[in-house]
Amino acid sequence: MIDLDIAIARGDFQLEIEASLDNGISAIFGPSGSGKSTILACIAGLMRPDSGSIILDGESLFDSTTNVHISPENRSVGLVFQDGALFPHLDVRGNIEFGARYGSPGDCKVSPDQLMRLLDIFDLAPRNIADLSGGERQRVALARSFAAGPRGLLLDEPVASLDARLRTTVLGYLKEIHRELGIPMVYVSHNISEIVHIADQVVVLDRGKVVAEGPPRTVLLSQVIGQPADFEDVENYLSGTLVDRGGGNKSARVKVGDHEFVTPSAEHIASDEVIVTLRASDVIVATELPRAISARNVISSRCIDVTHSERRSFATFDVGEPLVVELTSSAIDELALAVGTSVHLVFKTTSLTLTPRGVLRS
Amino acid sequence: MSSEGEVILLSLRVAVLAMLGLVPISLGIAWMLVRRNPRGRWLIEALVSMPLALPPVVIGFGLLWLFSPTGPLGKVIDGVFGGDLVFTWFAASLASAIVALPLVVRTFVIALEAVDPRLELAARSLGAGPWRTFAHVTIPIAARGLLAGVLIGFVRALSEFGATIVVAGNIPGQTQTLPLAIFTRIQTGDDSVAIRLVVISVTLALASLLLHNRLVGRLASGKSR
Repeated sequence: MIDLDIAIARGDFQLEIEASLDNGISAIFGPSGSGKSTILACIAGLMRPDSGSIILDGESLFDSTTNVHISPENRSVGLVFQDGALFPHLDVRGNIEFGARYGSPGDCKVSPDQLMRLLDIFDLAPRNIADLSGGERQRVALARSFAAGPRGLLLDEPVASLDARLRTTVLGYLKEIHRELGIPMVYVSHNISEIVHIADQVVVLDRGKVVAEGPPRTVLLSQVIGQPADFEDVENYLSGTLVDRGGGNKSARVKVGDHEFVTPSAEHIASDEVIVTLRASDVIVATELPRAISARNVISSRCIDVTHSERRSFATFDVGEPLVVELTSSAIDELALAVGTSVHLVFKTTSLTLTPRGVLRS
Repeated sequence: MSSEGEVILLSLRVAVLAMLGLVPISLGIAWMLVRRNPRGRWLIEALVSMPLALPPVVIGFGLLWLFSPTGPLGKVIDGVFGGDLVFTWFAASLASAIVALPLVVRTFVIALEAVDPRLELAARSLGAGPWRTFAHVTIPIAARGLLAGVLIGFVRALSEFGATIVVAGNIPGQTQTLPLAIFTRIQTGDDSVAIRLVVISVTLALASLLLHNRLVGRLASGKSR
């Protein structure tokens, strides 16, 4: 649990934030310059707020009234940068063991070797970090932070520099490792889909002030409906299990909740656990069962939320996990969509993308 | 031992001692300039660069004034150690160190500026304190550039003449380093020995410079990463 109540002013920029971040994954969302990274720097101890307090699990990391400012190395708070910030003079194992050597690894329930296996980088151990791909770098950076046995982890746009496929993979690893360690994580991003997928709560910042907070899907959809349609594509990341890999021309089948999705072939994916990516604008909503249709996926579901403005509209459906669909307001009116409406969701096989999902193997 | 051998050994001893004292001081100054960006940065930079602009004789004269038995620092040293620094090989080291300081600090600044400060922040957040971060992250990453600085400083210390002859004199076997020995042989018309010493001097300089350029070249082509 991280309790934040800080104020900081640097030139024209002013930040004032009061927030309680629990042991789940908390996201900080906002445009660049809104103060997201400043908050992380304050929690990590790399920047000293002008006033206020930062409390981690009941312990004061910073308190301007009692003049407490614990130095970064004594906070046991990990920080993961956008490009990993790996040490170029050490190999992969050296980087991870650096965390174990100087941190408080006694607090870490997982050894460096286990971490490397968990993040699927064990085979990379002797590699020079210059030879790693972007996704590999981020996983090494995560392993390095976890090896130090942190009481909290701060992530500054950790997947922003990765392509879409790698992004979901790394997010999957992150979620898995959070399930294993249960420490609070603060995740800074300006990507809505990412946050909806990974975070339990979100704080929305604008020009140094909190403008909204709560459950990511509702909070962020209400942020995005005020924006023009080309502002950002909303994507769904659904966790699934492969039932049939398919191959060649044959489609694969993936179990998501109680439903089976027909997806492109999964012969190139080694694990059975996958993340299914589906854009919110790629789903058709029908109130009657469509017949003789080429789309291979027709899923019956129920509407659990409708969020709309004059600019954009979203409806969310329960498919075992919430599935966000973007539609026009006239479609919402015509179908009389409201919470509880039974619908059939229609989407094409080719609108789905599969990526492997990291799971802890004992 | 031949007199040439004696001269070379003394020169190396003087230059090595100069670098031993100079390296930690230069590292401290360079780190402060790069990471702390102090308010009087321009002044510190100007002071550090002074030996580069001044005639070495002036530096020698300054040191002579400071360290002579009646000088401000000489008095203190005389009081504490009961001895005199002037006209010793230690004074030759001191003169070499001062003259080499600007080159070493400048090279160190370039080397440290090449280290991404986020790597240091990452190390801190992993639990390494400031000193450990400096020793295990900053120095190893900047190693090539730092080594280049040490070499260029060493070469400069080996070739120091003007300040040395003023503050350390030209005493054979005690303060007569390679350049001073060459000077003396030229003065006495002992050309064959002078030429032998010149060849040794050129060889030492060339070897150090080649090594230095190799390190700097690698640094520029990014192979150190």
